[in-house]
Amino acid sequence: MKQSPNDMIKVASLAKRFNGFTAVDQISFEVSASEIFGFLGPNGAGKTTAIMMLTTLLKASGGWAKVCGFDISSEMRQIRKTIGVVFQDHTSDEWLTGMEYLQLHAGIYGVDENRIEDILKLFDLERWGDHVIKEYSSGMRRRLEIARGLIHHPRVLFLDEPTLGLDVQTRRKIWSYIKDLNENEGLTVFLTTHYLEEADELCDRIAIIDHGKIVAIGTPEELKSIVKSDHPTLDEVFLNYTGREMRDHVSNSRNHRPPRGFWR
Amino acid sequence: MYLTAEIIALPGDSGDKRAEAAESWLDNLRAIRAIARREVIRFLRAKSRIVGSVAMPLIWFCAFGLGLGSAFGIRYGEIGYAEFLAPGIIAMTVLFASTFSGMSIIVDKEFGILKELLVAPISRTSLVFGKVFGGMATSLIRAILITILFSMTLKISMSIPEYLGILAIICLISFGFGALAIAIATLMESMEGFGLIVELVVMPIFFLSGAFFPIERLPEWLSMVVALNPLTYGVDGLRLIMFGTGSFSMLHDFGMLMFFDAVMVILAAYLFGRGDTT
Repeated sequence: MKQSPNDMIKVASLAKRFNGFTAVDQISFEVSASEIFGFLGPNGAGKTTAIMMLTTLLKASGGWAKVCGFDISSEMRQIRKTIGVVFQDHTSDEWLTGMEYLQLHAGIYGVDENRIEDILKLFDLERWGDHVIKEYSSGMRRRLEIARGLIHHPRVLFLDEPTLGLDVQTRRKIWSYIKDLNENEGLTVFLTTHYLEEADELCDRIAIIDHGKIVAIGTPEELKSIVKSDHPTLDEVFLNYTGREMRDHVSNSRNHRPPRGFWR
Repeated sequence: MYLTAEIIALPGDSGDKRAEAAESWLDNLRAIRAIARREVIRFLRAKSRIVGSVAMPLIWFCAFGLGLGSAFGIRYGEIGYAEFLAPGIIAMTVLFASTFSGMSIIVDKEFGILKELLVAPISRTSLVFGKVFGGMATSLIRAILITILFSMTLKISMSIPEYLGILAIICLISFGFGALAIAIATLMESMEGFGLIVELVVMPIFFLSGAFFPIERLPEWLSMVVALNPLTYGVDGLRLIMFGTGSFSMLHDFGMLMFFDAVMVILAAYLFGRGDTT
């Protein structure tokens, strides 16, 4: 279990099986400090499962991983203190105001309330603090949730499909927030996406994941150089690795209803 | 993919438990307060819930206490049926309000809100306490409103210590049943299922608690059931304070309620945090 001091995340042969179905199949990679690392893959490739394991919400079936030097299967409390997580679906309580939502999490993480003002300002939401989240647009809600994920100054921010379903303007705005945080505060970011331009624009390094396996890993440029083309795009790289077939995968909607045994 | 599937199925905060115990006590208290506060905000924000939560008990009170009571001229010792029923209706309000804390966990699960709480560095037990105390606070708001209405319409005059005694019983009822609701919620997967269980569990608890009828002259099997029902002691305690008449002593009522609370919170914390040890 060697870990260089610069590795914020180190993953070795991590696997997750659900009743005979392998969602994540022995993936290994490292993410260095202050890097933006992306998991790029089609729907159902195992991206969210991987993020759930790294954020201590799902138990791994095999392999190991360390986040900020802590083991995901035994040092969960320490990991939870040092990471911020923004989930794919909106998870903010729409009956609270933006301010109350952040106060809830400030209370949970033991953060000074002054931080709330700062973080609202950082995400250009200071005028919306007293509005109920119900009144927010999807993009505002996503910004608020990212703000929530950062409230306790995490060292690594996990973003699961951060711009899913947002319009182009909002998407670009969110990219700029993430880039600023990365450049100004050295925040390490681990994100998943199935938008190629998002991976291309944001990520220092990308892992292409398909059927639970990492099929390629490298900088966007490295990945593009693999394809023989005058103006290589990530699109071509992606299709090169993941095939051109459309995917019928197990529906994501199963996520919303916890199946039997959820609590055990 | 079955992502949320095993979310709680994981060790919460196992190995490092003892090392951080002292420091985390304060952290947990703060987290409990934050979680409880959210429940109260949500309750106060939904105006219809406030109206509904007061209207329901009043309808029961009018239909049975005033309607049935005066139609048949029922009396219980010195007091009329409306007076007899009033403590039962207060207990009912608390019972219904505290089962809501179980409901709110299922709602949080369905909307993914629970994931935010689970990924935070707080113990599962703190989460349970946050929910229970949140339910207790909303129960108090509702029950105080009802109690004030009753003491005005039934012209009950009570001293400050007597009001405090009523608040104490409300808290004890709410704590125990809130924890029971959470224990049930941990075993349930959907709101529909939870609703069904609540109807199957909560209604009998209410009906067989001595809220509706004196428990002295019941058939033996029924009085056994009533004696096993913790709400019986809540209703009895309230009646003792409000009208000075009841089936047990105050000490007995408080003792039983506290015993029930202790058992329930241990059960809820065990079921909710079960993932921690496996």
